[in-house]
Amino acid sequence: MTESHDNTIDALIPEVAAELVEALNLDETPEEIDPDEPLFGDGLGLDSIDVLEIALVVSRRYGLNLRSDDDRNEQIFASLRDLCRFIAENRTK
Amino acid sequence: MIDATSDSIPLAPDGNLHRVLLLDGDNQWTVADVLASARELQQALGALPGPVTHLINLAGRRDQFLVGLVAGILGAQVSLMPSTRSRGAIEDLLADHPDTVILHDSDQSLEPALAACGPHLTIPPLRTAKPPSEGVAQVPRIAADQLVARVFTSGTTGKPKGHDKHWGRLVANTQVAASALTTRNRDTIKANRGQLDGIHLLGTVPSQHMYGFESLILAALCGGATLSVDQPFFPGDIAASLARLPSPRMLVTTPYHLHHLLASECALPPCEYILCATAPLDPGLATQAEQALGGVLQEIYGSTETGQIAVRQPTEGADWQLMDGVRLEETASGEVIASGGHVEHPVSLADCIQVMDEGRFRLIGRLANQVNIAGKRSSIEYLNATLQAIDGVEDGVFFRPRSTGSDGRQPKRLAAVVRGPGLTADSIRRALRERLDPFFLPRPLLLVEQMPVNATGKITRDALDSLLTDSNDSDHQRRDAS
Repeated sequence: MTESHDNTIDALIPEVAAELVEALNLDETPEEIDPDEPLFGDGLGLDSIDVLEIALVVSRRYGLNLRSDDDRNEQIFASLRDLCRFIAENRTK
Repeated sequence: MIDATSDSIPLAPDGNLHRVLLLDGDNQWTVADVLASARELQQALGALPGPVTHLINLAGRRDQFLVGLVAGILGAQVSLMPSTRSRGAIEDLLADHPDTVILHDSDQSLEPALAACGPHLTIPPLRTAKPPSEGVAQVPRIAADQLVARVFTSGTTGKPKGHDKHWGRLVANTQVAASALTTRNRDTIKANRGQLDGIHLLGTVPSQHMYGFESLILAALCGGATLSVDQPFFPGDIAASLARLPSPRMLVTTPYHLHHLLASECALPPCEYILCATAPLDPGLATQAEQALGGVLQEIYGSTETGQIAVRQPTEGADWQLMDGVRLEETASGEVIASGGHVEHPVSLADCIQVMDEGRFRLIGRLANQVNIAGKRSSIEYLNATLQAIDGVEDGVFFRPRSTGSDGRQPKRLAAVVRGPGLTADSIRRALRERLDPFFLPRPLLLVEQMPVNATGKITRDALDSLLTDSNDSDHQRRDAS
């Protein structure tokens, strides 16, 4: 990983966090989301409805289509930072 | 059409062993294949120590769910269908139904917490029976009054309520639904005896949900359709799974999935028929879906209690048409009762309904205590009872916030206000997650020292809403300050 790559991810984190809070109507503020906290389970506590909402945000804003047969899904949705890494590496807009 | 009042009805009512029931790309399985696999599972169940009278079929894969269901029917074991697979719900079912075995796809697919609940067994993956009928000489006949499934709703008392489904009624339900769908499109659906022969089904709903059970599993087994094993999730998955199916296709989905599918703007293959249920579809979305998929969209009205009872094509009109044999009656107190036909016993409907002539009705809205999140129903009473049963919760209520999401369409979560000294929002959420479907977890969950009551000691909607607004304002202040 290059330093500029990490910078790109860091720059995306607040933007994507704000999208999640808005789209998912989360209790937290964007700044309160720990980028390394798990998105599901005992972390942020997201569920399958949220995954579809996130997929919609990601496809509209970043031109990315998620698929279930993608082996990386577990990794993509592990944390906010992982989601941002995936967006940074695959975005088409 | 088969006479559902007769004593017994073949398991696959057309009696054809060689009809294709399931498709997975180029692989296909016939009625005989499913029967052979179901017999194999039945033997495995018979080899367990002790009797087995009930099954909880948690299979995610369509083929394995169908094999589990058919094995149960052959062995006269009742399939219990919980409204959620949370650990608490499964434990309750097992406590109320001794001699129950949990069926699942594979050891990896069963959460450890569920595996610890009781005896469980893997459903064998479908294989092609060789020779073709492998001792299955004919489609077995099943007694019309055999109890096949007990489907659970959340009820109103804090305890899930089971609704018994008998074989004859389920077959009748499937056939009148197929007939209602095809009658309205006599020109376009090449229907044979009002059945769905030749139609390839793809579903986004679980097999265990009453709608998925009827419109996918039973539509294939008893309705003549062929079912794709796929259960696509993301819009891109739906498009790919549709493209894998031969024409004519029918997408069996919900307003929630349809909204995401259309919003994703992903390229869609043509789909001749779109079936939608679980909540009324926005007419604009129906028009958009028909244009995007180049097909006819029909909606089904039903409930776990009644099964499917009415159909409409929203681009043609807003009124619903009852299926053959079903009646609606309005009582003096304004309740609307469905009965007759395949409805097992009279059911008071959970919606506000205007009964019209000639078997038509108009849906006005939901009753105040009913909630529907992404197609899943529950009642405020049930959710409140679950919340108030948590250790340390002294009082607490769920409610529907008045504020809407930014696009007005996203599934709106419920909010909850809780008084529970010493508890945190996280610990309450964890306890709720043990018992409730995640869709019903409150967002936000506000902890208060005093419940917002008015002068007469009642909790009012206005008071709850203003609590929520205050909490949002303080969130914004925090945001502004940071």
